[in-house]
Amino acid sequence: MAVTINRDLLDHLFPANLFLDGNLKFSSISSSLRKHFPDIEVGSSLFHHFDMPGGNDWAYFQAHDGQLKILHLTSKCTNYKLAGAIVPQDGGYFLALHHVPTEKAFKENRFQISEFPPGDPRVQGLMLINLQRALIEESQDTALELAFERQRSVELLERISRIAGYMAHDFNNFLSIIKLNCDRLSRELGHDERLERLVSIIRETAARGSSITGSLMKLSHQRTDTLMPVTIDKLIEDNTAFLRTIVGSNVTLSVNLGGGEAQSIISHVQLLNCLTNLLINSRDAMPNGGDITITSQLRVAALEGTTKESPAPLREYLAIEVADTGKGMTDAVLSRAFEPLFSTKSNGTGFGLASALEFAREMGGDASLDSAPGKGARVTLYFPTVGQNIPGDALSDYNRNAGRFDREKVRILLVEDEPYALEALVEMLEAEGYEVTACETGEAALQANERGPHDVLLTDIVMPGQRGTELARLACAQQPNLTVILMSGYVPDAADIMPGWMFIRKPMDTTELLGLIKAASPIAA
Amino acid sequence: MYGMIHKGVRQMVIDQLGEEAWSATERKLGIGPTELVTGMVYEDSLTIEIIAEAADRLNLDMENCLVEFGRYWIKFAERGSFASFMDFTGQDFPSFISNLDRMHLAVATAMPKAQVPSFALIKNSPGRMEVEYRSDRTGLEKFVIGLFLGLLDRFQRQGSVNVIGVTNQATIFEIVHDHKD
Repeated sequence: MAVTINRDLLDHLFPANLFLDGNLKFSSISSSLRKHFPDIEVGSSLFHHFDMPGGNDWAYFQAHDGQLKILHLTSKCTNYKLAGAIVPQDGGYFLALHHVPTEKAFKENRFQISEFPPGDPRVQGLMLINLQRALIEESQDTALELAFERQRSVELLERISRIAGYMAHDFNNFLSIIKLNCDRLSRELGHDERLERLVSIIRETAARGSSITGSLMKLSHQRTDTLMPVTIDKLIEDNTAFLRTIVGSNVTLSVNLGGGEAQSIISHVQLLNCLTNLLINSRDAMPNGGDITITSQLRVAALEGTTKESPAPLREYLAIEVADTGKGMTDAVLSRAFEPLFSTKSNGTGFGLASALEFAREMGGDASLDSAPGKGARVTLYFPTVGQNIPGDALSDYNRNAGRFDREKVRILLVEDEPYALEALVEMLEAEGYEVTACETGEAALQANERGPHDVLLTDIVMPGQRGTELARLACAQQPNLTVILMSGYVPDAADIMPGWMFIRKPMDTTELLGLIKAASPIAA
Repeated sequence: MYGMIHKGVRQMVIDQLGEEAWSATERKLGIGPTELVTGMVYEDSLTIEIIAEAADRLNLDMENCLVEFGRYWIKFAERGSFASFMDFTGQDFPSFISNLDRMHLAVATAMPKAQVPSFALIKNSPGRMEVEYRSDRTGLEKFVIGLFLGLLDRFQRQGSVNVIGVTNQATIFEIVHDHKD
């Protein structure tokens, strides 16, 4: 049976068709093929432009065995592929071919739907592939855009945070001047009740302003707590009732304190946070109840950087242990327990142990963890002590330095770039019997310290020129036994505060500042 | 509607009014990059809210904004990631129109939550076409007119688009264009 169809319909049904004469030379090609192979000329040989897989075979075309002859062709120039059937026709051949979309052809966007016969299921597949590629490209763009946006938000937050910090600094300086001068006025006015009330109003208003700057400092992630010598045993003792509420009723909390009067320079707020986290961890490890013991004792150890070649100096530490009788940890868990964000609890944040370690190290100490399956866990925090509490040879400069000065002879090197604050501080400290060398810059302070040693360096942090932290480092290099007290309404980089240095936030309260200086000289007190 | 529509509106506002106008739009509507994810399907109400805000900024009424946006949409799609998808659909006006439905079928297959419309070329004579449009959504006929005008632009045709029939289920558009094929 023969069917006659016109050229248009033929092109529609077999978009990639072509006619060859008996010598396999092109006699005509479809418009779709013409688009892809503009160089093919009528009369040129099929095998000049295309290859058959396995070699070009004239005989394959010529054999008339009545079987359907499938043909695959690959372009010599472009690796473009065609496939279809050979139909003998009037001494020549009609090749009913279709395009085989290769990666290259697809990438070069060579096809359109009309080059595929109607109902060809490959069209939907090709459209989906095309769409999928577009969506992947869009996803990549979106991912970049979101990452950029996140970065922008982080930067914006950092900028806001920095601005908040600088604003807090400036306001705190002003509030500090107001508060210090209120104290001066009180001293000058004696017992005039009416004027004293006016001073109180100013002082109270400054205190309210101070709570606003406190919020600004929190926004800028500033240190707002005081670093001062703390008798850790006393702190734990005073808060034992609170700590018991954390562990709950089916856990027994025992406290064995052996640190005595030993002090460490720490933030007492952070120490309580740290103990709270450790107790929560222990409690959660004992859902059916158990025992937790907090123990403190003085130890001599060389914690950091100890190698055979350069052993770290021995120091005295107050060690606080929090031990529980919980299920304990496997070696795998133990090795990762201090990692931030690592937690074995379904609702755990992974910050408890990590922040305990960070805090201990920030204070110049360390933290360790012992545990085994079924044997509970014991976290030990080490904090360097002020002075030497264990009798024996002096352990290190750190322990030797503290507690050596007499209050009447305490010489304070005071550095403050705000003249009004400096004036008020000098007057107040001198009134308390301290010998004060006042400087407005770090450079002047270093020169003054060269001329004669001091016991305490009391310095602002943010100043034009040299920062207070840099000044403290250089002054300690000049004079290793110098006690450092930093005062600031803004700490640009908390990491600059070295372990053993004290810190008080501006605006300062006179009583608090005097207490800090007094605490820094326990023997005199 | 899917996020690519939102991206299209954003680009139209940026092209015509600048980056700051779009930032102001985002601030006013409380949206950001998370509302512009191409493959995400968002509530229609959000899309309408975005288009309405764009119309306000472009000083257009909603209907004209939909026409303008439909027209712009074609330019937006052809110059971005979807360029080859568009090319594959058709490289001349009649074949593109006749393949519109297959294009939308592919979109529906790839993004099952997107309620895509269907298009059927019901009459095609030199210089004149009738296209039947069906959609679960209502009120987007002006956008479809803009799309056809955008396609005329894409294939460098002059022409006009009108609604010549409306039933409960479908809208018939007549496209009259200068015949070049």
